[in-house]
Amino acid sequence: MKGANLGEFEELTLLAVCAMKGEAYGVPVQQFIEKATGRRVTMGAVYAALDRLEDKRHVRSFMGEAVQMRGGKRKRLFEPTAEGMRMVKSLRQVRERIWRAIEARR
Amino acid sequence: MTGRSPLPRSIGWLLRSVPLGDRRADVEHDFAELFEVRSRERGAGYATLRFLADFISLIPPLRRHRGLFQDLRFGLRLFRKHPGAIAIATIGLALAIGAVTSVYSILNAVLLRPYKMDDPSSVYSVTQPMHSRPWPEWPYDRFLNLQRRATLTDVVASLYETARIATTQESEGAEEVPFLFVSGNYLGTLGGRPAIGRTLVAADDVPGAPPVVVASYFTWTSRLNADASLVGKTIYVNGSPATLVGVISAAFDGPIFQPSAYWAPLSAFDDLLHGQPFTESTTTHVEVHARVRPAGSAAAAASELQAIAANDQRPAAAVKAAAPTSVELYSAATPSSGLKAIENYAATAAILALIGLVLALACANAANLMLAGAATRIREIGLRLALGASRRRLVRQLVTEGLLLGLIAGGLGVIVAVGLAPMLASAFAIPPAVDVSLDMRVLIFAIVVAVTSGLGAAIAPARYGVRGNLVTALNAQSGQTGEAPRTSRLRKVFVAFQAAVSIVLLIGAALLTRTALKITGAGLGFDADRLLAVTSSVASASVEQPGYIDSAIETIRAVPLVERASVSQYQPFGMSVERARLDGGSYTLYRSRTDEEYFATMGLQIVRGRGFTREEVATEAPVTLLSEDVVRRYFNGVDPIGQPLAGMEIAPARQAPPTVIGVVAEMMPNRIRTEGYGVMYLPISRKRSNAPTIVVRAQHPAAAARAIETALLQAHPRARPITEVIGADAGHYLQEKRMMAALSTAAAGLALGLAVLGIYGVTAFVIGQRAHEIGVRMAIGASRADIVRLLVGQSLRPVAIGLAIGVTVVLLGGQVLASFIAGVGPRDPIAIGSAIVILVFSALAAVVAPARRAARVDPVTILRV
Repeated sequence: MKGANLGEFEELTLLAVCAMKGEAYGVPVQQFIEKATGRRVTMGAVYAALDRLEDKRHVRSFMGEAVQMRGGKRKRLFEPTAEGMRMVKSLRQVRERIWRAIEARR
Repeated sequence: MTGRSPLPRSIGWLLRSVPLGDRRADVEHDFAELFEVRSRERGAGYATLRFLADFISLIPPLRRHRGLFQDLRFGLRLFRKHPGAIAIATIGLALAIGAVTSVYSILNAVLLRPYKMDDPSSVYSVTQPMHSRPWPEWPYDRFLNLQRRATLTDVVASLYETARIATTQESEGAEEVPFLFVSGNYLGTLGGRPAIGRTLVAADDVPGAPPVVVASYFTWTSRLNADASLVGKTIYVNGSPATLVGVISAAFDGPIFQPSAYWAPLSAFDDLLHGQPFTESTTTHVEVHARVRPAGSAAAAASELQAIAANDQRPAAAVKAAAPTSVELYSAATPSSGLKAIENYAATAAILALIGLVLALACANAANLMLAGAATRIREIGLRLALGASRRRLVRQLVTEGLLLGLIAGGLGVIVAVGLAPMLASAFAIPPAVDVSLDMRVLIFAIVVAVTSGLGAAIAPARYGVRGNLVTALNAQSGQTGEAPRTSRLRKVFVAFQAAVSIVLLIGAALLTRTALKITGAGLGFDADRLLAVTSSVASASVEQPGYIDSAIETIRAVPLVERASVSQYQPFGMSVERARLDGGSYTLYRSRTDEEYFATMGLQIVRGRGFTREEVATEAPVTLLSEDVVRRYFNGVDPIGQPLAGMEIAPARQAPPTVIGVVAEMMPNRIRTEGYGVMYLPISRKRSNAPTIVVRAQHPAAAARAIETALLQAHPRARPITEVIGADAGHYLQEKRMMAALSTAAAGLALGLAVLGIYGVTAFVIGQRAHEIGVRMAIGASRADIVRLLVGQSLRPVAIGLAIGVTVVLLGGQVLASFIAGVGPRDPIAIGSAIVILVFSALAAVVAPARRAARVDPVTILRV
């Protein structure tokens, strides 16, 4: 456990959830990260990251509407919490500050 | 799109096999969806591989083990780099696992697997004290008393017999098969349901009921050609007709070690085997079992049965024996539970100890090779440490390699076991109806053994390979500074251990081989090939008629090929074993009763004194003949003739001590048996109720056997004579000993092979490490002979230490072997000497080759490097 900070994979997962806008569940998150990073991602890792993010209150889950593809069953969806949104924004600011410093040196 | 899961069934079950809690529905749908997407985009093969990776990632311990695949890849790389050493380690381990697994599968079939019946745990043996030990056999009338009045249990009875079964009246040549007579409620109570036809019911077991039998499924398929039309037809039991009314399901065998081929009601005993009719007044004993009903406990059931047995409500005149003092219940769930628990646990423990020894040997061998591998990899390990790998990670790497080795060897070992188990079963004379195939329990055992041995092989190298400090590890130029002294000491310990185990097994094999040779070479002490034994199938009513034996002997003597005929209480290979007490010491000897013609018929020489006279036999006079070994043991050089056997107490003592009138040559089968020291012969009168054996010497045994049977049947239509050529029996007996010798030789060969491989591997490796040092020695003047002598001497030292330990163990603990060998002592110098010679020469061969190779190298090439 990395305390309140996010590990790299957790960050990617959180970003994926943000990108999905309330349509996030296991499969799309996995597909999103795999396509964005070009590396293989296992479902176990995705589930674990979503669990940890929920524990840290960066995402919350809710039961979605019934979908025909799921045999009419409702599924658990994820969306970012306000704190989660704050976290991604602050991570982005940190990275942009660093990049600005790097580019200023060139 | 439908809601059906598109996951193929071949992999879908995997997902159902892991606990997922309330997430199950989501996870299963996610996996199905991904599989569908991936197989659409990249094909089913890709989708399956990814499915498996996702599946593994779900299992927490594996998920945390992120480097698993990397470890496996490194492990396989190692296997590719040292194919020879790894192959030797794997094959050795596979052979050991195979041997161990097949022995365990037999142990499982014979002792551990519950009997096939409904709820085995509620079935008990009902015992009463017999010679102060609990005994499960009861007089028939007492069984009926228990059965009728018990309320907490269902009480059943059985009587084990053998019989010849044929589908025609001519039962000539039919093999004797186990035949169980049972009370009418036996099969129903224990769960013997019919596969075809019907089972036995209470109405079959009433006096006068038409005789019926049911066959076991194994018998039906193996002896009756699985012919369903036989059900309802007549078959012949020892020539007597009975109706085959059903075949019992293969899911039943009942609480008996030797699975029965047929069951028949006790009431048919009279018709089928010409025994006494089973009525209240029969004197025959039956084995009693009880199933405790769901309402009762075993303790309550036992006290109820005791109360019933103690308070027999029948008139005192009808009750023959005193009521038993205590009734106890013993679990009859498995062959090793209950009454036989202790002796069987002892046997199990002994076998498991042997298994452990063989396995430890294979592990030591594999560990040795792994250790050599670990030492050459000290540099690699140092490098990985320097690059930031944690020690834990490196240990894990080595453990993963060990596990990989163990599992590969385990897979091969199971294949070995599949072939070996039936061979061992027939070598140990396990009845063919006992199923020794590998079941789940055996497979789990094999996996545990494989994992344990893999870990065992890895743990030592892992501990020692990773402990060294970073700098020395990095400095270690392979081949120059040698290895850490600790690893080399550990390897010497392994070599010594292997040598010790090998020498123990080699001596055991040599002793058993000497036994087999002695038996074969020494002969039997009598001319067995021309001897016949004539018995009746059971103590039948007609055989018990006074005068039958006399008239049967006259009939047999009249057969043209017959030279002599005589009477003996037992067959020459079957004698009663008696505990004898003499001057406070307790001895065991065999006792048999014979008539005056017996010694001449058998060809047993009377060494001193004389044989029985006709009068002594007729009156069973208090005289005895002893065999040579008994005389040697009890009389210490004093002439025994005319001495009373005073001070020798043969239990039960009924009459005055007999006087010794003669000494008889020892019969080899008694000497090679281990329970007793010799034979005591007493006269047998013709009045004894137990049908004796008629021993016949005849010119052409096989032809004579047929002629005798025909003649006896003509004279006594109710007789059921069985003739056997004694030589065949003796041959079987010798065969058993030879088989033991062959098996132990094979085990010792395996051990020796492992030891030689281990010694060779270690020596070759150590000498390779010392190439630099050897070069220096040669450069400063050592000759090649000096080098070879030095290396061989140093390499053989641990072997010599192990050899000394092993021989000491044999000398101190050899008595354990005494019950398996005969004709040679457990400290037989020839056996021990030859075993030492074999081990020393094998070890020399393993050591000399690499030493000479090292000494042939030009020192300049080594020193220049």
